[in-house]
Amino acid sequence: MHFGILLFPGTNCERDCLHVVQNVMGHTGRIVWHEETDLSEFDALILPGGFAHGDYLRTGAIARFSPVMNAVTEFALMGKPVLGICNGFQVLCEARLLPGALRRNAGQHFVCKNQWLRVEDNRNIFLQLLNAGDRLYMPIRHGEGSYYVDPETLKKMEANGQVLLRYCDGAGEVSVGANPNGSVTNIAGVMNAQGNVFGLMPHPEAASEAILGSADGLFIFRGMITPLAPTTAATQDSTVTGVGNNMFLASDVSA
Amino acid sequence: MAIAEIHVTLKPALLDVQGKTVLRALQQLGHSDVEDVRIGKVIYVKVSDTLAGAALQNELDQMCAQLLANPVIENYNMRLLADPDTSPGTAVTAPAPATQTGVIAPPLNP
Repeated sequence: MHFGILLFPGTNCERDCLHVVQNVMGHTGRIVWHEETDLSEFDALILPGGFAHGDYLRTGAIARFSPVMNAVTEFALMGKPVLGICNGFQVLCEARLLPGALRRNAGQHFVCKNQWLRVEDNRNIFLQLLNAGDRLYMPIRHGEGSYYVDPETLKKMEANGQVLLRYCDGAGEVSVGANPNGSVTNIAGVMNAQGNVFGLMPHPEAASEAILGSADGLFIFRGMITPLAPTTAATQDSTVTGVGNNMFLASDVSA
Repeated sequence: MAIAEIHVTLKPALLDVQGKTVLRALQQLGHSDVEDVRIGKVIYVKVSDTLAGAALQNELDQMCAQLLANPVIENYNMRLLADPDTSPGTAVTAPAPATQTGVIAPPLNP
């Protein structure tokens, strides 16, 4: 599989993503400057974290109009997988490829810590290697990560299986106390209605090797390039279920 | 030539954490009458006089909807200011750059 990893001026996680794709997963990837307009060589896209265009005006607001974004929209409309991490999530929301928006954290502070997440729905390519209720452990680092969407849209998203991850505590409890940024109903990651664009504030690329404290992020990268089984909701693959609780799983890194 | 003064604010239903922080600070300073503070952005857009009236308004609305405000979380409103260069007699004065009214930043290359 060949990954395109977008680089806007101010993006700073693109090489971490490339490292995971190439050295951890054994696939290929290329960093794509934001002025490129042809993405036809890629099987999957990653919009990494950072501060695209300095986050001026609003996070992702200027990046949304970078030349590459037309090709990203076409790529997404073709049904190919697109993953937005942190600032990439913000860009995808601004580009209306995902519903909602990211606001300044409640409490004003930039939050930088490891965080537990609960898998809310695994009936999608991104989390198909996990089970609903699994816990994942990944770093978060953002100042504008408070997800907002109006209540009616949220209801539709819930019914449609588009809320994929929520912030939880170590016991898997989704509580106000476990919410690091005031995000609506603790949402950490959402998917589009078509099921091929996923954005999340946590950093799976920074949690893809045991030496970093967690390899849980690999489930997302591996999932996004795995064909979705028709009976995904009932899938019980014993080799990968329940391991979201295992922070030190990097031995399982075969491509 | 015209200058549009565009105010972008969080929708009233949304918590404005910046405003809340400033509210607390004002109250701590003894301004106990302060009930709420909300913070937004002011954007000044200078437009050439090839546009006027409804066409200008339409263009500015497009700018707001496309880029300057995010309709999911923000509202905007605007008013037109006269350009001081071409109509010095008007009552409305154009905004002075922040460096002239607030703390003066040191020049990068003195």
